[in-house]
Amino acid sequence: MALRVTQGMMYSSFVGNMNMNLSAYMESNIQASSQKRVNRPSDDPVSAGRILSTRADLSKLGVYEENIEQAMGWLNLADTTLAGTDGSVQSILSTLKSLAEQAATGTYNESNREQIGMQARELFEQLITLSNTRFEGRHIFAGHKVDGLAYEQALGTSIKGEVPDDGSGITSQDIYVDPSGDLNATTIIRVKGPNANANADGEVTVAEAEFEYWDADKKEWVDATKSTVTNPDPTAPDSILIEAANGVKMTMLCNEKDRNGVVTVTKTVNIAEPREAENDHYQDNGTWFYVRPTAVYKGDDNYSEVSTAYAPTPAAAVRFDDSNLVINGNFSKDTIIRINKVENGVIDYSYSVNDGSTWIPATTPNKADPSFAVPGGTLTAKGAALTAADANTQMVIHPHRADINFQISEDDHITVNMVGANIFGGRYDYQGGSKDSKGDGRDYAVILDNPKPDENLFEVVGDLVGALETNDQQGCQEALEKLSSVMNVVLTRAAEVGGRENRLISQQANTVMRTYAEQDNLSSMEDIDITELMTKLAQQQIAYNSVLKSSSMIMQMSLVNFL
Amino acid sequence: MAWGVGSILNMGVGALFNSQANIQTTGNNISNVNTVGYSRQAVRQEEATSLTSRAGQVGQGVNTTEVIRYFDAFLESNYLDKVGTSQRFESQYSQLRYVENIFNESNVNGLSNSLTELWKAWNKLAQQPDSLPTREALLGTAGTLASTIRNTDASLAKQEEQLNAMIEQDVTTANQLLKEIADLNKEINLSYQAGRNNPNALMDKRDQKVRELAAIIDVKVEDRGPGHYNVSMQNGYTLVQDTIPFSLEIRNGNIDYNLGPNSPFKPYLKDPADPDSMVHPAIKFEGSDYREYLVQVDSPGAVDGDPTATPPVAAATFKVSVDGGKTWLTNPNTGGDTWDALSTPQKIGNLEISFSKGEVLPLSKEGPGSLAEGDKFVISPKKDVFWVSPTSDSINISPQIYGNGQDNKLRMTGGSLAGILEFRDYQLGEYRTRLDAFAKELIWQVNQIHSNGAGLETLTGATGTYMVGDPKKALGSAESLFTWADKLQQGSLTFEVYDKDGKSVIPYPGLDVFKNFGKYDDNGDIILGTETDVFDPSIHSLHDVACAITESTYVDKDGNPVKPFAASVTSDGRLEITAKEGHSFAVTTDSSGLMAALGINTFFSGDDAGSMGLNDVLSNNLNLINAGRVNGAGEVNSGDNKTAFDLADLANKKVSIGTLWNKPTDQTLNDNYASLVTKVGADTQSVKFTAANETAMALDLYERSEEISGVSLDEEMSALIKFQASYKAAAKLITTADEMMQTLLSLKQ
Repeated sequence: MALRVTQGMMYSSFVGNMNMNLSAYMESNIQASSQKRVNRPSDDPVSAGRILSTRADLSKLGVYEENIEQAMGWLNLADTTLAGTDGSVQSILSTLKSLAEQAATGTYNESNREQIGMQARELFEQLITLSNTRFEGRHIFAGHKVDGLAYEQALGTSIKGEVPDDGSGITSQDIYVDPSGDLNATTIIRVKGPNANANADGEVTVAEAEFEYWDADKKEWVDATKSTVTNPDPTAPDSILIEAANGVKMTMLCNEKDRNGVVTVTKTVNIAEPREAENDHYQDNGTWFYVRPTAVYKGDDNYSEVSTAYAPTPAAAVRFDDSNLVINGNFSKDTIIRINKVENGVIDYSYSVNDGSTWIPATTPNKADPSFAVPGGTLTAKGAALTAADANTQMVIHPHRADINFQISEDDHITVNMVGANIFGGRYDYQGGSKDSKGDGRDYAVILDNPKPDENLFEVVGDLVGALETNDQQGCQEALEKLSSVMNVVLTRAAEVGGRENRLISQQANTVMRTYAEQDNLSSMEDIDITELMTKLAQQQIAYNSVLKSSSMIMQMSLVNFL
Repeated sequence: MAWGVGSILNMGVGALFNSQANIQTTGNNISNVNTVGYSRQAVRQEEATSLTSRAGQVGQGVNTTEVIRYFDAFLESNYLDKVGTSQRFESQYSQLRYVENIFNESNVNGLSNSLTELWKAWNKLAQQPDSLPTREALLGTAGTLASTIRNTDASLAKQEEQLNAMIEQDVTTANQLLKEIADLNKEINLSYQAGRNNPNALMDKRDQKVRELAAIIDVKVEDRGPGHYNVSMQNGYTLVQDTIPFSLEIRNGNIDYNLGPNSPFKPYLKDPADPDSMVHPAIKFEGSDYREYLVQVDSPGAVDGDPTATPPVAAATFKVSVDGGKTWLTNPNTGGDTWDALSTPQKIGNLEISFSKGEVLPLSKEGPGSLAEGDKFVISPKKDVFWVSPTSDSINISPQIYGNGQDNKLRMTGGSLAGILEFRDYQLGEYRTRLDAFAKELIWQVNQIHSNGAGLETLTGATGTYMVGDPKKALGSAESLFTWADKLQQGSLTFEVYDKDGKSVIPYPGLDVFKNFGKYDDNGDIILGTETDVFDPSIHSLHDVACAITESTYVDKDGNPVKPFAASVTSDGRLEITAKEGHSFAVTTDSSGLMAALGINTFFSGDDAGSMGLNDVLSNNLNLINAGRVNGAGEVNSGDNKTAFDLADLANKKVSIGTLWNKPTDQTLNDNYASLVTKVGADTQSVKFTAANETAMALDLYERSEEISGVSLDEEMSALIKFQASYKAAAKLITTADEMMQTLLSLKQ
């Protein structure tokens, strides 16, 4: 309670009160016009920060939802392509199977088989088209190589008749046919006999063998041109080139060599006895080659991984030579392993899956062939137990990668594409022919190990086409069984796609639910309660009015008025 | 003496004069009712001495003694104190309101939104890694983010500039006020006569000046009468000693030497190369920061030591603190908390610090350039306000706030000047530093992932975007003056090399740059005994890296060794790699962080909020945006989205971001920025609250002083009536005396 009240005091107190009331009034007015409770960070600093984080989370959920939609597109297409009701890989294989069944019966003659062969060839080409299915212009079965074809038609070889059974016999794997030859016909080549170099069993080395091919027009056997292929790399196996009808150029390996170029296996074949002009009795004797259609996978794979070491000392470099590192498992990320410390029989190491940005520590017992566990598998360093001087050695696992992943939640992602080779098989030029990854000197497309040759779709179907076109009833019979296995592989892959689709659906529901929850949360933080605000506004109006009223009343009072 | 009519007349005149003086004073009060700083005045009057007469003591009327002013010195000193505090917070609050606007994203899209958009754009690229329009859009989004961050920083920098101008203004005003107060003291001393002559107007004016001064800087007043009126800061530093004004000054980048009593170190030395030169400081620094750096010698010795002696003599070592010695900074290169005292600059915190060797006296601790344990240097790498002491060096009085929130009581604690300085160094400075740290980490995280990736095209050459101050010094050391020194780690670097057809020429794992690596001499020959296969940032320099890349060899198909690269260090300290004719390359794996740190194959350029931008090469060639990476087969495929996927996933990665004076926290980048906004909001809210509180208290004190010193018109009006009446009565007294005189004269008739 003031003892003396002066005009100055009254005036400043009026102005102060009016300002205070008016600014509170304005504050409510801003909230009313923006409909928001927090209009600047200082209104509610904690909420202001959380609002930004929640908005970022919402945007992230939007991204996941979009990714899920996109992934659905990719996987639906893969699903229908593989196992749809009509025109899918699965249905074409069924058709082929029934064709093979017909052709395998003895009542069909050569021209019947030829007709079926034409139909089978059409279906074979349709399968290639399906393997090249694209989503938004990107090939879905080509791994990371989305911009190029997943499969191209090429020529493969089926070996029939006799081959030496001592392990030196030629296999389809040793033969490469240049795809520049006639892709629309099956050519028969066989080892010509007699041959002075042949042993008593009729076996002869590839290098010394002579070849002849069947001329379908003249109906006679014609000698094929044979020449030696020169390769500047002395460690590469020797090979010969055989040229036959229809522009067929067949490269055949003569031997296998080790790393130093020393011959380990010399390839052999069996000579065929010269006979009448017939071409459908290969069972009799000799090694026969049927050059028929196949397909080459042009995409990339997620198979093998390579590891390499970086050592701090020359001694460690010898200890950790790349050839001593063995990896086991299935890796999806480049992984770096760093040895921190070796003591008391324990190796202290860290690994990083983001190029050294973050490291996760781990330990392993120090023994001979120490093994390091990392996400996806293990790396073993063959050799003696480590010493303290090996600290700071780094090892890198660098996988082939072919998966296209979309993020569908903070810690989950989905692979939207497929490695076509795992479904369709065919031949595959490992690493695009740029390198010789298998270390066997073959720098051409070879038949895949997985799926197994009997489950290899394009090889099996190609084989069937070859058998039909050469009126080989037994070949058709053999193809029947293989086709069932192939269908199983395709079904398994389709089921895998279906599984991924199911994951997407449940993740989508989850994302939508989280979006609602976050929106609710955001609204509760930043939106104004209208009823509350309107009540407040009314109260503030009354307060302001009364300040104006009382101030004006008091300000009029002065002694002067009474003098 | 007898009394008579004459004496009555005199008494009437005295009363009349007294009433006049009262009316005059009342009139003065009424006139100054709205004058700022005016104190209500009143006439002090006393009864005149009575005379003894036959009737006893008879009063002789009134004596008008002096005009006094109503003023409460105790209240005033409280008020001055509160004005200082309230001004400190008011000035901060008005600045914070502006900053808050810069960070306000409640109703508009700002930095946080731009960051989110960047993650979205990377995700889009992960969906369509081969799409050029998507790449173009990504570049646009990233450009927007970079410019948003730059603009935010520019707004803050602009504000800082204005603050510095305000500081100069405040210092000028304060110095002016100090002079004026001293001058007023002079005048007051001249005319002041206690009890008789009060220079009320001058004193009002002086009090008003002191109030103005208190609004700028904390003051306390000691008034022991004329000749003893002193104004000082709360910490005791004199500002006005009666008629002598002291002054404040601004210094930029001051170094305080606080050497031990026996320290051989000389603050200023002659340059040995040029004995006639001016002296130059023995410790130097480059750069600026918001906190003072305390450099304290840990182990004594000479600057640089003597590496040529046998055994080599170690250099003196020192520690650095940015919180006044409470905690010591970590040397990222050694993990310890000491640095060698060197004559070459070292990057410590945000500064580059070097010592001068002066005249070289090796092995001797007595010579110049030698340091003793406990020698201290305080580097103040900013514009600070100093109190100019007449006897010693100027003293830094910029506010300093300890970690526990307490003020350093030896510094300024009140007034707008303290508020602005505190705001600049502890709020704006913190926001800018945190924004810089945020931008730096964002740049690093993106570049680290991006530099390990590969685009739709392989590289034929690259020039780094980051400069290394000294390419011959180990990259991780403080001497390299390298912005990413602490991000490098032991590791390897491999390139995949391609021929002109795009075929990989080396079987996996590509070209291992650090195979048979080591230190290289000036001719580019490896120094024997230094061989290793691993890059170590505490050993290897940029020169070594460039030599290693140049020396990298692969064996071609025909068995001939080929060196596919020519690498060099540019004159401004950047790495330049050129692939020789018919070659191109891509980064396979870089676990050392070198590519990201040197700015090769990177996405962003710059290393703080103000310099953030996009790597120029990307805008010229969209194909160099890395969506994929070299796979195990040595290929880069157009459908590979690994790098884009990882960059989009950066939105979820918790990264550790700290500053020199903030412990690092593990948060996502979005959350880190959100917490900066929260910090700004919380600061604003708390300063707003404190300012309102302090201002209310200052207002209360003002009202209380107004109760005493303020003019009430009603009161003055009644006084006027009173004195008008007394004037009439006094006049009546004279008339009466006159009449008495007439009566007396008429007796004679």
